[in-house]
Amino acid sequence: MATTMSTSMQGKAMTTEERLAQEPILRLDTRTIVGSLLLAVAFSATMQITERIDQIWTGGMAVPLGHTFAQVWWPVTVIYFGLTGALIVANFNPILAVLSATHPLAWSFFFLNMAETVPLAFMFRWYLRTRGPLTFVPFIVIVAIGDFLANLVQAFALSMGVLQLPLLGFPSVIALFIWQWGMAVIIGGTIGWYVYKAFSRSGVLG
Amino acid sequence: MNDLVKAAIAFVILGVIGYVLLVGAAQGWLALPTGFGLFDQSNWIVRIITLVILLVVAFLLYRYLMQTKSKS
Repeated sequence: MATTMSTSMQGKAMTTEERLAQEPILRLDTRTIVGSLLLAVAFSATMQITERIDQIWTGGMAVPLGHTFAQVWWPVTVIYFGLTGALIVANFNPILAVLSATHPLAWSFFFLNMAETVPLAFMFRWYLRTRGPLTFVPFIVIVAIGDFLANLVQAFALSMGVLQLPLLGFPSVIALFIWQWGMAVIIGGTIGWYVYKAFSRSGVLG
Repeated sequence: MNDLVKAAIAFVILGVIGYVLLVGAAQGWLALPTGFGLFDQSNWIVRIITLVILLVVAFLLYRYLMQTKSKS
């Protein structure tokens, strides 16, 4: 089936993203590390604002804007810089968040972030290696799965394990889960797609 | 191994470690400091654990880098 064949299988020239997906997933060259750090700084700058707004409107129980605007930077980072990008972008912001106290739950962001970015790196790599260039729907589906995983860890470990929130009472763990996930996929995923396309067209990260 | 399988394995490992550290830090399991002091570097146990983790990560990265160089 032509639709499920990657570009290389069809005999066409590979896109930059497909070419990068053929390389080792954990690259330690200067370009990868510097590129990942630049995107991690951009992500952190966004989080300095969103995490504070989250703290105001949820009292520190949830991070809906954090989930949403993470989808703007994480997919593009893992697509271009693989596992190296996933680890750097996941762990750079929590250090700043803990130091600058942006959110009461900042200490937990290391694990919540990695629970999404690392699987995202593998999933985008799988798609680019086997299915070819990314389109809108697969991009959103992968982002939805990735954020679902982060929400899962947050719901079990943080909301239920640490904060002892009820599953169905108020504030409901399920309601927080759906709120964060819905915003992340619909708003964050869509913005993330256009950010990714802008980087892809510019060729600045390839 | 398929990348999707690796994604699932990575999530399970990170999820379990995250769960143990987050809930453990809040409830004082094992050697973890109680409360939100998981990153409290004034606690000697936290300092030692952090140092060991950093050394292991540095060793793994160094070994990976050496293997990559010898292949190319």
